[in-house]
Amino acid sequence: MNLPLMLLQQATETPSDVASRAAAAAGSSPVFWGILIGYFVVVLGFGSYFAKFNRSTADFFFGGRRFSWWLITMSIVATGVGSHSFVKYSAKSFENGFSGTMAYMNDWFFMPLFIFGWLPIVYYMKVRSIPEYFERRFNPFVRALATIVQLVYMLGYVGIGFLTMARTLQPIVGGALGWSLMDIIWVVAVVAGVYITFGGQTAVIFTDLLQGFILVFAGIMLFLLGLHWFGGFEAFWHALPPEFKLPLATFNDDPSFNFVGIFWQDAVAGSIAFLFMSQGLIMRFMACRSVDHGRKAAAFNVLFALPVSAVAVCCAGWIGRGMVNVEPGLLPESVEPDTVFVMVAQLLSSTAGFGFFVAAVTAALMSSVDTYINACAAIVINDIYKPIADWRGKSFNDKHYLRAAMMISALGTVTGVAAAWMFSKFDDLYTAHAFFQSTISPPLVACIFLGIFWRRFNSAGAVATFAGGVLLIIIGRTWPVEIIGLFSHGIPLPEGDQAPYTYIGALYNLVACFGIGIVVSLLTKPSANKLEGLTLWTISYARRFFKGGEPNDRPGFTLVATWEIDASLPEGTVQVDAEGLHHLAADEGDLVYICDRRWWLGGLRSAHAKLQGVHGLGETVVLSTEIAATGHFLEGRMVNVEKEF
Amino acid sequence: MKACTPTASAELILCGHLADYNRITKRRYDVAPMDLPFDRVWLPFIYLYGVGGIFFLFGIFLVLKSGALDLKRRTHRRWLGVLIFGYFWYFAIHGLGTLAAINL
Repeated sequence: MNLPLMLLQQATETPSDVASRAAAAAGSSPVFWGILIGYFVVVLGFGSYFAKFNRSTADFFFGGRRFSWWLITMSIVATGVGSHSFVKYSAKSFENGFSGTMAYMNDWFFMPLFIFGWLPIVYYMKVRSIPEYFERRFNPFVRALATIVQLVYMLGYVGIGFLTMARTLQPIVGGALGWSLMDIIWVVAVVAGVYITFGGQTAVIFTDLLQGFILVFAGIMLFLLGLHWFGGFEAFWHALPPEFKLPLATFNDDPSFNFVGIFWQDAVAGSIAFLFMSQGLIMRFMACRSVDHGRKAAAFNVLFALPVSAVAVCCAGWIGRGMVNVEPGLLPESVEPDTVFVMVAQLLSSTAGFGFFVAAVTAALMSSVDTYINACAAIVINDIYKPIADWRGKSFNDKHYLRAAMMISALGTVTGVAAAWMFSKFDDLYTAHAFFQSTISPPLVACIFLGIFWRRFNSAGAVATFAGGVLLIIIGRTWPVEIIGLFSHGIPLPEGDQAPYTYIGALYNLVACFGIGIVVSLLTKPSANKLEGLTLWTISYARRFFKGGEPNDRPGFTLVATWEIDASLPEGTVQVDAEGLHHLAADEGDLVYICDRRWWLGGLRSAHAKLQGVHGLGETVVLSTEIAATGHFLEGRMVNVEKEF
Repeated sequence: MKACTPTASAELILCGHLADYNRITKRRYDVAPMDLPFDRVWLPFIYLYGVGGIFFLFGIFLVLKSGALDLKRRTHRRWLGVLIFGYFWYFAIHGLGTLAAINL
């Protein structure tokens, strides 16, 4: 349908009618379907191609710990931008202006503790899951609690992701094909499920790389189209009132969107939860080739990728607000905020362009859901299946666990679909999941945070934080005015039925959970657990644990060499000549990283190994059979060899 | 989209030449300057980088005190620089964004 006709019809229709009709028009276009199907085919192709890189559970869950920082950064962008982000942040930005970006722009304050605390702890101590950390730091009971909490949270998130995306797509494909909500969910679940099940973390990282580019490009393209519509940046800028352009919200005036509440809910609680508690994110950092690359990925993501993502997901709201001010007939003041993204995208783009934006929303969903399904499988294998096998005295090899991980990934996808179906049928269940998540997250956050940074925090404190924290949070919810009101910073109570203190409640939750954990730990005996490498204060042990010996930090150079296999070398080892050893400033037993020289592979063909003796073959690195297979090196290709420590 | 020769502003819009319409009419939508109070403009900024800054400094203090960030190592010194840069990077983004909003 062309724009003039659409504009004329708008005069008699509600904004949501216009959005639905515009979306349905796109759904009947072959160009639109070409783009969407092409996108699905590429994603499935990625999954089947990367399946060959999975030889062990370490590959399946952690991508063999081999990838470069830039690959991880871009995949984290895709994971962080969920299916709801375009709709939600466009709506928030339409209502509140540039301050809609706050959630994306306040994550730096906890970076010192993340990149020098939590990241080296999980990487060097080879912590495979958050619940596993809880057992090593506290006891099996706390691990069991954390396992249940994480699984319920993540499977619920997968279900909500499927449902949100299906609701976004239904007006578009529902009309053209007559598909129901569940039909759409099944199609997307099958596509996502196939590449996750066969491709594991490696497929997740590479598809997320692609999806990250798609969704950032789509958002920025929408912004540029919007600027063109206005006739340039200056016209756009002057279409907006000064208060709308302020990057931070009103301090405490607005009960539904205030700066101080968002600060505590997002910059503090949200940042800690995102950086320290997300199993999917932890696994992504574990897939980095080194801790330093993990640091680079985290820093680059927060410093540069998040601000760009913020513009990508919020700009439809800004453009929409400008349109309301400039041409109220085109986009009326009364437009429903949740429809702004679809309406602006449709108004500014051709059918092909709109197909691309829909692909971006789908990409945003799949890139979040794939991470959580892979993370669920890691927790089921690591924290349920293996402990039960050990308890029953059964011993399985890694191939068995790899097959089990694949089956659990498929099962996790189906469970996510079932959760989506239940959420679509029972609103109460959706509310219950949101309640569960917001009630259980603060105790989990407090436990991890205190566990890492306070040696005195013990098992009794952890259990009390879980049980007492949940209780105090429920009490706070029951009497919000009397209890959370003490922390309200002057935020007024909302009118009508809206729940009070939506955001600032996070401050009370944190105070309650941290408070009870600290008090109980101080009143009980210190933990008898060995804490080496598990807290910030014992971190020096972690590198020794990882290497199995004293680290060698002498500066050396990268060695460029050909490679060959020596079947007599023990598993996990490599050899260089004496000159090469000198060049690397390495000793026997040091860890090295061998990588295909093509940087743009991002470490796809690489492996970690231990130096074992020297040979007399010149500029050649000799690999054990297992290292050659793990690294997927290609015949005739030179490799770089770097000493790690 | 069908080609048409716009003759009036409404037709310019209906023909889909909205950018042309804006450019031709040089229409600006200056909203009357608002006298925004100090606490609306700067209090959130001060709170963000004040209270957030306390968390940030506390984090730096902890990693230094524990030895997790070892200033004897060159790479760690560089990382400390990156961390401090990051704080001021966002400080500048929000600060300049605020100044632009009220002055430009």
